[in-house]
Amino acid sequence: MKERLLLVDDDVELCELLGDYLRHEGYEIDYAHNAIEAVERLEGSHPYSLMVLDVMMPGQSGLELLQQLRPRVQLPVIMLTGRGEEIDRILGLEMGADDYLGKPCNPRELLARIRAIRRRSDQAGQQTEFPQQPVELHAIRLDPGQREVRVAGVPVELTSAEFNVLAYLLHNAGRVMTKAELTERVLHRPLTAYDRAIDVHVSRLRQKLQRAGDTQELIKTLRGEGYMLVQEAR
Amino acid sequence: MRWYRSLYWKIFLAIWLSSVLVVLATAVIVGSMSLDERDAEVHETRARALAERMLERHEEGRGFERLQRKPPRGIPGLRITELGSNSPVFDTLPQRGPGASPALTFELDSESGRRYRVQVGAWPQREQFGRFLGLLVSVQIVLILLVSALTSLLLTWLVVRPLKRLRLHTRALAQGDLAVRTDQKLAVRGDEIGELAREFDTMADYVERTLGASQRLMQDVSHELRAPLARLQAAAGLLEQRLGENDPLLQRLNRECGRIDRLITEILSLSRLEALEPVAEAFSVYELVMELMEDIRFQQPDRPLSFELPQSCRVRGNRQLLERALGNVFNNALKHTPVGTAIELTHATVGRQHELRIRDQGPGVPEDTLEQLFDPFFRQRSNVASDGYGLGLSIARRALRILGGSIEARNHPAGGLELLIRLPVA
Repeated sequence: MKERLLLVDDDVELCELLGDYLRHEGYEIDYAHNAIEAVERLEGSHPYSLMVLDVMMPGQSGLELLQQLRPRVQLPVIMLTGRGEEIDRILGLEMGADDYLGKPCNPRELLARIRAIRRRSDQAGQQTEFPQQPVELHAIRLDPGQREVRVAGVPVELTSAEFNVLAYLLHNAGRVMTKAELTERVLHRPLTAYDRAIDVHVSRLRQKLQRAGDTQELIKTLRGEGYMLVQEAR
Repeated sequence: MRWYRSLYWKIFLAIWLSSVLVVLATAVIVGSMSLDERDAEVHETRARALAERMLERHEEGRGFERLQRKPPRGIPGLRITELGSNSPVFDTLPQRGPGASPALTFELDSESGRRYRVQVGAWPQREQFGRFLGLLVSVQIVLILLVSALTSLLLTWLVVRPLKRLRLHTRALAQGDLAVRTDQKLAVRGDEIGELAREFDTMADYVERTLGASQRLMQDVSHELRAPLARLQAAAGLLEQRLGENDPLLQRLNRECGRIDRLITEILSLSRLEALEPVAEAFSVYELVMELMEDIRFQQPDRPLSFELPQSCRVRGNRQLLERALGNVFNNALKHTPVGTAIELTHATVGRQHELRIRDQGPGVPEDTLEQLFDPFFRQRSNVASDGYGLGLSIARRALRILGGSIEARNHPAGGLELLIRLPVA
């Protein structure tokens, strides 16, 4: 069965052009031109495997829509943000988008991101990447089967990207993971120049862990190298 | 500003000088009149006393040879004549000259009953200059100094302080805080300073409106260009699916799309710089440079990079501004020099300023076009094929100005272009 994607953008012609492009690559495509239509589509009979969401829409913006959907709807989301609007990107990732892409964008690039996220969620379903059994380090307990994280017994809500970052760092505790490595393994795409997606995910993850009671700053930043989850607590 | 140029000292000097002049003039005019009267009295008393003593001596039969030879100090010429016999008793009045006519004449009765006429010559004038000097060091002048200082303080408090506040507002406006207006205390004043403050507000309104309008226009145009560009790129994508990726015309199409995209991004980021929120906190330049170096290493892994920067290097303001500025400076070097050549960053602290020098090993730039590097869309004449410098360096200059810094370019004596960035130490 073909995968079905939802394109949400107020630009009708652009939707049609991108739709044609993606159909040619083997996807089923539906459109929504504003937030209300998008919600209707999502509640309709077709299950979507991914949503491409434009930030700048009249009425309810893409960010507001995402905020409304998360965490109830776990569908992977790629945000289309205006170029240079770093704040939108960071906000988008914080609200639970899985990745972002500057608009206007090359459709080939959009396709690559869609494929990366699809690969990622397939693997999350099949769990080929990591062992299934729960991992425990310090006060953190991560259960890949349940996709659940607890800090000192308290459950922590993580987006799928944050969950994957943590899982990857936990499995490689004590080793420095470069940004490029993390981007490839967690976001399933190559790192690009001025790409801060991983940094945003890590910093959000760190905040959430700290709020849940991790006082030791387990995730270290190594400038110019990458990130590391410390093996030994101080 | 030198201390003596400050308004306080000017007011102080003006008040002090005018008070001193008024007091001196009064003293000279009024004082000299009263002094003349007093002097005359004193002189007559002294002359009478002297004449009485001399007549006593005369009647006792003692002579005044000694006095005749050496007249007493402070007493001008003196002539005493016995009235009955009309014979002179004593005479030191000169026969001719300016002192010949007596300034004072009175008659005197001696104890023996004889009557004498006493004629006194003119007293020498006391020197005006001496009296003036005496006034200068007198208590009055010290009082005037004190009062002028106090009055100046008061005036300064009334005039200079609000002016200083107004200056702060003006500076904020110049540094790009277009929303700045004078505070209520200034604007409600009824005097000229209040007027100035209200005029300032009107000007700030105008500046904000004008700049805001042109910025909005730029932004709107760029935004509006984006939608058709996105459709163009999508259409090119569709064409690519039909013709294959390697079609040269398609590659050309994609390249031009990329160019327009970059241009729009630059225009938007230029107009957005001013809209960035001012931040009062300091941030680490060291960490920022580390991040940028990482990005460069990612873009061009073969590029030799070096930097010398103390970890303590910090700057106050919005971090995004410096990130944009330094990023553009580095990108400029990456774009215009061969991949294998080095880019180096060095740091020095000069006074209260950080000096960052970013030097590449490229061919440099003709001397007469160095300043034009910072003009929007400046293009080297010899280098028509390249993309031009675009907006990168003019964005950098604008961002640094907002941070209170500056940037200039020069050709390094040993070759290569060197950009010098100055920023105030946090």
